[in-house]
Amino acid sequence: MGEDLPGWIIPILNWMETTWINDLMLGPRWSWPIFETLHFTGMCLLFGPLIIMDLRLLGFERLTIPSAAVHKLIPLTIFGFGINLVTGIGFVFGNPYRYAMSNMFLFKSILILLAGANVLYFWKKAMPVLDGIGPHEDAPTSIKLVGLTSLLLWTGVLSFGRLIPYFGTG
Amino acid sequence: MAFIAWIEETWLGEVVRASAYGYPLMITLHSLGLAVMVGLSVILSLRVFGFFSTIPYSSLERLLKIAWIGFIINLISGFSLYVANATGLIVDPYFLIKMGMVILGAILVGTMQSMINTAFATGSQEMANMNLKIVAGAVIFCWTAAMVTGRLIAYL
Repeated sequence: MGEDLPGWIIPILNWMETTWINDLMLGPRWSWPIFETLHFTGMCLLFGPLIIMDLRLLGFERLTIPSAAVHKLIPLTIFGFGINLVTGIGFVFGNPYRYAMSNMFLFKSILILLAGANVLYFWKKAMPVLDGIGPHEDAPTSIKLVGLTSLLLWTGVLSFGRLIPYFGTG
Repeated sequence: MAFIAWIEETWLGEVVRASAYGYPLMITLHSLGLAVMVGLSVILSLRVFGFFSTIPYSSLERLLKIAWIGFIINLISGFSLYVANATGLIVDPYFLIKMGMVILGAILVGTMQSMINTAFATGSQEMANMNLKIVAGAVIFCWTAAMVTGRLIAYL
């Protein structure tokens, strides 16, 4: 198992298998399904606010929702992401070799990092622009692209995640 | 039962069951539809409970129309997944509970939206009355129950 993996990763994967997280995931019969159900819950809490914030950024309901009002949804989307980060770490520690060998998991991880970069760009570059225009003004196209990118990246994260059991596993 | 067995033998059942891409494609669409329908309707429910109060009800309700796109995606993808294993699922109690919760959840989301629209049409400011809160709470309960039983189908 793991013949195609780079050598440096093997000790990390072996160490993961000795941790209490691994015991928790593989010990009690209900751990894995409970973590999966929580992962789906986190996904919904992440996606709902995201769709509304990104659509507002693209200009939907621009005249009725002030641009700053949808930012009230940020804590909920971070909460959803937090649930999925914790449960996701549980899956990886529970079966490290499987995820290390999964192309789908690799693609998913790359898209999460890109989505993180997109959030940073929004925070550093887009927010000051939005603060500078009126609450109901249309955002410039460059800022709207941040919203579109976010929707596409997270749809990709969800899709590659769901495909982990089916494609590109070692 | 003969009808159920026949459904399973149709080309759709065969494609989803046996082709390399049928089942993964449908199950991915099913997760996407779930995120859209449940994610958005839970936000409207939370709005009823007083969260995000700077977002107007009417705007949120209009964005909720997108939730129904998610629901339609899941009707289609869910039907395809069902057909692939029709005879097995029809006797699975978790599947039957899930179906009940999905139907009830969808009816409740529709009810919540129409209650909000009605309150606006009459110009009432008493948006979050007790009836609306009960419906909003029931929406969250039904979707949670549907998600838990849906996951259990894969394990039991």
